[in-house]
Parts: sequence; C-alpha cells; structure tokens
Amino acid sequence: MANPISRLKMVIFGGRDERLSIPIMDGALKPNNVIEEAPVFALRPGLEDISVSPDGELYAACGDGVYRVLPDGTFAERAKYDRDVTALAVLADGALAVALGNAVVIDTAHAGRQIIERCDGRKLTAVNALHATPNGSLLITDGSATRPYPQWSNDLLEKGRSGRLLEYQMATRRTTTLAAGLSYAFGAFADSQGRILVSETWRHQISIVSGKTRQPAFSGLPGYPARFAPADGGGFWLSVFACRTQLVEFVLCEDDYRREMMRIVDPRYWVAPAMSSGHDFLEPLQGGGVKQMGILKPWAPPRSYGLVIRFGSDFIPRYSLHSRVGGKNHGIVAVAQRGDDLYVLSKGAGRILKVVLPQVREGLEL
Amino acid sequence: MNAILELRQVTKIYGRVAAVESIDFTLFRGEVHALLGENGAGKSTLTKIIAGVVIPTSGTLLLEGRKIHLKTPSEALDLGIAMVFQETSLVQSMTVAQNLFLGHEKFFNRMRGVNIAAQQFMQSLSFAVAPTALVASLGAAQKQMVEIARAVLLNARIIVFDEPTATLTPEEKRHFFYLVKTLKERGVSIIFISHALEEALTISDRITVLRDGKHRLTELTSDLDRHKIIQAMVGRDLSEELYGSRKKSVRPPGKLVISVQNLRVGTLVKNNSLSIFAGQITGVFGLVGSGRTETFKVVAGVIKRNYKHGGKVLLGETPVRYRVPARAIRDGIVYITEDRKVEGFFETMSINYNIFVSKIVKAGMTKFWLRKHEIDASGERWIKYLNIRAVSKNMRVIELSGGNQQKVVIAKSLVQDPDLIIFDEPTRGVDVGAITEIHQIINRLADEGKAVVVISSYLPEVLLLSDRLLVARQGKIVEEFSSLEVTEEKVMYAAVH
Repeated sequence: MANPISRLKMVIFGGRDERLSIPIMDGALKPNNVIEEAPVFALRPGLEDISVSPDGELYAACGDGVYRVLPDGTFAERAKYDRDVTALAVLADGALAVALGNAVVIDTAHAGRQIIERCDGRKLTAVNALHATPNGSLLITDGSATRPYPQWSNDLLEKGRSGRLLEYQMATRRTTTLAAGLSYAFGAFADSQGRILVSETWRHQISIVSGKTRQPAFSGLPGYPARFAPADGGGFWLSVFACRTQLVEFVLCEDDYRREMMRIVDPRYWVAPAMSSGHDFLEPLQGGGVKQMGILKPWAPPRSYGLVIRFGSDFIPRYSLHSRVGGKNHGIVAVAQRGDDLYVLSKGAGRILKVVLPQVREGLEL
Repeated sequence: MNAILELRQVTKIYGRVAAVESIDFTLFRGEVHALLGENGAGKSTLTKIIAGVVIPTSGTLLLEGRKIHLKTPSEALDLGIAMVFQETSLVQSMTVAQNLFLGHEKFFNRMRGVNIAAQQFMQSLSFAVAPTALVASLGAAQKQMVEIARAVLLNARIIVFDEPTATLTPEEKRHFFYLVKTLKERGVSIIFISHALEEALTISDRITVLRDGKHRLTELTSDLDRHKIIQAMVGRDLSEELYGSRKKSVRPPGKLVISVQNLRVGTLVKNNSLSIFAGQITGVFGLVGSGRTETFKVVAGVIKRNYKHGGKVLLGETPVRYRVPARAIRDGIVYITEDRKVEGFFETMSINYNIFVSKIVKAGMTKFWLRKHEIDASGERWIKYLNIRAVSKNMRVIELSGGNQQKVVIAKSLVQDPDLIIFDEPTRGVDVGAITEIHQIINRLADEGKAVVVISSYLPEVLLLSDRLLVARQGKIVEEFSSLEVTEEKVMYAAVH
C-alpha cells in the first residue's frame, strides 16, 4: 500500500474497494465476437503495427522489416532495418516513418533519411506510435523514459509517468514536446479540426493536448488504450490491447507485494496485462470476465481481451469490436481502415484480421 | 393420486381489473406443485385465495371434494391449509418455542414445558433450530423452518410457499429442498411459487403457469423443459394491442451520465455494474428481488450502499455518495417511485403545492418565501404540459385517478429539471389511456437529450420503450440487449437462468 496514512484511512473509512472497481463494458462497449470471428487476412509472427498509405496500400511492421501486405495476404518487403520496428506511419507522399525503439527514421525520396533520437535534450526511449497529421507533421509517442518498449509491463508496475508526446515538423526538421509526464503514451492522433489526442495507457484515458494544457477527452476506459487510426466519416478508431482487471488494480495498490513480485517472479508470470495468455499453467488467473448463461464465471481469465472502439468526432464511443477471452485474437495494438474494410492487428496471435464493416456495423451501432 | 384441493373457475376482480380469471387448479395429495408466471401473472392472488387471505369474486373451492368458503386465514388453517409468506409472519422478539405455540398456549403455561415440546417437535422434523433462540437472531432459512414447523404443528395438509427461496443462500436452499422432500413424504401437499425455473424443475411434480391472470398450462414436470415454460410465461395476447409495435430504430447513446461499479447493498445488490447514457431510454427488467430498484435508489440517494465494499457510483467522472435524495436532485438525478401512494406525493395537498414542494427541494433555502402566484403558475404549466386531467390545479391529489396521480409524481420530478430520470414501474396501477400518455412523456424526455431509466416488471413495456435493455438477476445486471436484437424469450431466459 502506498503509505501508512492511506492504509490507516482505508482501515477506518474503507474505500479501497472503490479504487479497485473498474468500469464495465456496456453500452457501446458491450462485448461481441466480431474480432474473434473475423477472417485472418495475413499471418506472420512478430507483427507490430499497420498503416494504410494515401494510395490505399496496407503496410505492416513486422520484426525488423516493413512489408506491403498484398491483397492475397502475402508480405512483400519494402524496407529492412537493423533493429525491430516498434511503430509505423506512411506519410502523405508515400514515404515511410518507422520507430526503432529509441529512434525514429523517416526515409523520404527528396530529402533522404532523417533520424530523430532526441527531443528537448532528452533521448527517445520507447517510441511506440507514429501518426502523420493532415498538416504535414509527425506525432510521436515515447511511452516511457525509463523502460524500452518491450518492457512496457515494467513501466505499468512501476507506475511510470514519464511518457511524452512529440511533434516533428518535416519542413523545419524540429521536434517539440507537446506533452510530458504522461502515464505511458501509446498512440496519438490529429483529427480534421486540428485537435491532438494522445492515449494515456496507465490512466485509461485519451486526452486532448492543446498548448501546454491536457484535458481528458474520454476517461474511465475499461482497458489499456493503444494506437489510433482515422475512421471514414469522421471520428477515429482506438485499439485497446488488454482489459483492466480487479486483480491488476489490486496489485497496483500493494506496493510491497508488487516490488517483491517484480524481484522474484519471472516476468511471464507477473500479475499484469499481457498481449496473449494461456501458454502456461503458472500464469495467474484473474478476476472474472466471462458470462455464460447469464452467469459471470469468476474463475475465467479475462486478460488479453483486446478490443477496438469506434469513436465519433464528439469523442463518444459509437460501438466496439471485441476479441474474447476464450479466443485467440488477443492484444489488439493497431487498426487501419481502408474503405469498408477494417484491418485489426492482433499482436498476441501475430495476425492481421479483416472486418467488413457493413456486415457487422448494423448489429453493433446503438 | 387423488385431489386434495380443487379450484373451479375462480375469479378475483379488483376494481375493473381481473387479477385472476376463471382459473381451474387441482392439487393432489402428497404432491409438490410449482406455480410459475411473470410478475403480475396472478400467482400470489391465487395462493392467497387458497389460504383464505383473499376472498374470490366467483368460483368454487373444493377441499377433499367438499365445497369450502374461506373468509379468513384462520379458517383455512383450521382446515389444514397454511401459507408461508416471503416475509415470515413470526414475532421477532419471541423465542422459537413461543412462536410455535403462539395462540395455542395452555392455561397454565410453563416455558420449560413449551421448550421441551418444541425441541421434540423440531427434532421429529429434523430441523436444527434451538427452541430457546430468539427469532430475530435466526437466519432467513431458519425462520422459514420455524414457519414450516408451525404449519405442520397445526396439522397443515396443504402448505403454500410464496417465493420461499428468494432470500436464501445456496446452502440454505439445499436445506429447504430437503425440508420439502420430508414434508412430501409425510403426505403434505405443497404449492410452491418461484421465479427460478431451475428450482421448480428440480423439486416439483407438476407445474402450472399463469399469465395475465389466466391459466396457461399444467403439466407433469417430467414433460416440461425451460423453453416450454418460458414460452407459456411470456406468450403474448392481452398486451398485443398496447405493446404490439416494436422499435425499428434506437437512439444512439450520448455522454455517459452515471456509471455504477461493483455496487453492493446488503444481500439484495451484489457487485452490480452498469452505465447510463444521455439521450436514450435504458430499460431495466428483472423479476422481483433482482435488486433493480435498490440499485437505482442508491443512485438517487434514497437508500445507501454498503459503507465498506459498497462499490462506486460515478456521476460523469466524479465519484458520488448521496446520503439524502436532495443532494442527488441538486446534481440532476431524480427517482420516480414505484410506490406513489407512500413515497410519491402528499395526498391531501393540492396538485400545484405538490409540484412546488419539489421545486423547493431543488432550490434549497433560496425558495424560503413561497409566492402564491408562482406556485399557481408552475402548477398550471405542468398540468398543461403533462395533460393532467383535474378539475382545477387546487384539487387534492388523492381525488385524482391512478394515471393522473402518476403524472403528478412525474411532474414533481420534472420540475426539478433533471438530467437523469429514473422511472420505477411508471405505469403500475395506471389505466390503459394514461399508459400511452406516460410512454409519450418518457419518449419525449429521451428525445430532449435526457438520460432516462425505466424499471419495469412488465416485459412488453420495457421492450416497447427501451433503446437498450439491461436484465437484472439476483442482485446484478446479467445481460444487455439492444432493442433491435431483443426478444421476449431472450430477456426472460436471461432473467431466470
């Protein structure tokens, strides 16, 4: 627990259960099987990010390469790097911007290669999302200043608040910090009205960044928000790679336990969200999340329950697509829309899934 | 099997409404007979007729082939018919033994003798309850045991249980089923009302289903399954005219107004979670005892949630814990009660004063001085807006019809300019004409962008009104449906399974 005073306060007045309660998935977030039942469009271990180019091509970052995903689901290599690619964006002129963990590389035809490694005197550490804005700049989220991208769960358990949102101006080659001190920045988006959004993953919210101020646009998400993607007809898509559970929230309150767990337990078995689960019986089971015959099964492990939320331009969720606990398509970290097709990247399963929106939207829109 | 009790063409009419109509019912000796139906189907009325609590308007009761006319419960008890109510009728401040022999004490009554007799009797029934224990200190199942023992002690040959398992824990339920089995072996006939189909299918020999006060089905339990029973419970006819049309489109959800997370209230609400959005009607359906009303009473500050481990209520993003309704009203939350006569209005006060009283609650001390013209103007406005049919605004509320009284209750809430309006059983005891008008009011509020919650036990009503429908069972929301996908069978299935 945080400190003796808060411990005493909880003993006298109660209230820890209030901190442990997590928002529910109802209304527009009501669970369905759309992602679980979606056909697999492409399959490759190590998939990390996807993006649609202005000419309608689908690109995927996978391992240390960037690939064009052909209509039959095969991969054609477009570029290769010396490290794993951690984020991808296709710019308006078709150039690629990729993140390599602690650096961002932009390969343009006219100006050659541009590399961003620092901003305001601080090195980049865990770049996990890139977004090309309509005005020609590039939004960069650097999740944590202390932990590299693969160690994101360490940052959660250490209650990291060192994430940054950066903006890189292509014309001037200047990088500026739009927001700092974020509880893990994992995705940014600029809408048609010029509003800049960032997902604060550990705070379970998306925030509007305006000047030096930051305001929640939608808070109290039942999961951990990740990358954005523009949606046809206004608004945007938000991928949520795992759902919150009371057990993880509880462990986050118990400092001593958490530190000891991180010290002595193999990270694979930590009580923390994961991109996929069910590989080992030593993995902790968590609070209930499966409803069967109207009964909540308390022993069901709900982690890696990824979903994609369709937000309107008013930041109100319209509907959502879910992958189920009992399924495989877990750890949804990226999404991209091309016409009526929505491509959903399941990092846990190493798959790109294709959802034909007109077929599913009718039953989902409230 | 020979019949111990027969009901022929029994009808009970309240005012102009038939609670039960032309019911034929037969109970065999040593049989467990389950009585099922939706809320308001007439189950309780029928059993109350059998137990002498309610006198039928017409029809015949035959006990072992002989015609009987029951006027009081004690007459029924003399004939061996006992009823065990959901809320037990034991005297809380007396001991188990005293309760058992209450009304049958000897002239020279010795407590020691009473205790010994009670002990022996309880042991003969295999009931593990101490005769010297105070009834107030007993659990729900033990209280029920005492009630059953009393019925057996009085030589009851027929015992009617009204929702006996509603307040029992799973362990206590198992014990109760064992009791029923024991009673059956002793040749006692049992009528058993339950909302849990599973229980009825487990312990009963035959099942009768009532709907809208009419007999729908009586069959051997072995010939029935859940699907058949649900079909018989929810099938439509009477409601077709009023509730026949279905929604073709639903209002999209607006901003999140209220989020309830892991709410607990005593044993009634268990870890309940739900969200309510602006600009749409959220229907909440559930059988009696499913914790719907209690959940929303907590939201509106009418009752309090558990102090520890009571969960969280968020107004937008702000956690709230209302101790009195006035605070909730100031935050724009109003609760329109299901029991208007007790909680809804001051019956001897005029319409306009009733409405103005609510305005004062919202305004607080700033409305300390009452201005008559202001009271009259607000009364007139709301009478016109809600089409309250009254001779004058100064008419006392008690003189209005049920439908118009309900409109006054609605006006009392709307005058407070709320953002979230919770209607609990909005059309209970309201005539058909007024039902349509109240439905229009509810729809109009949602169209104006208000968040509206409609709690109803009448399934066709929630289906007609709701944009999204939440189903409650045993203290929590177990299912959510969009109005476009929902069917009566789906809802009933979620509510009872």
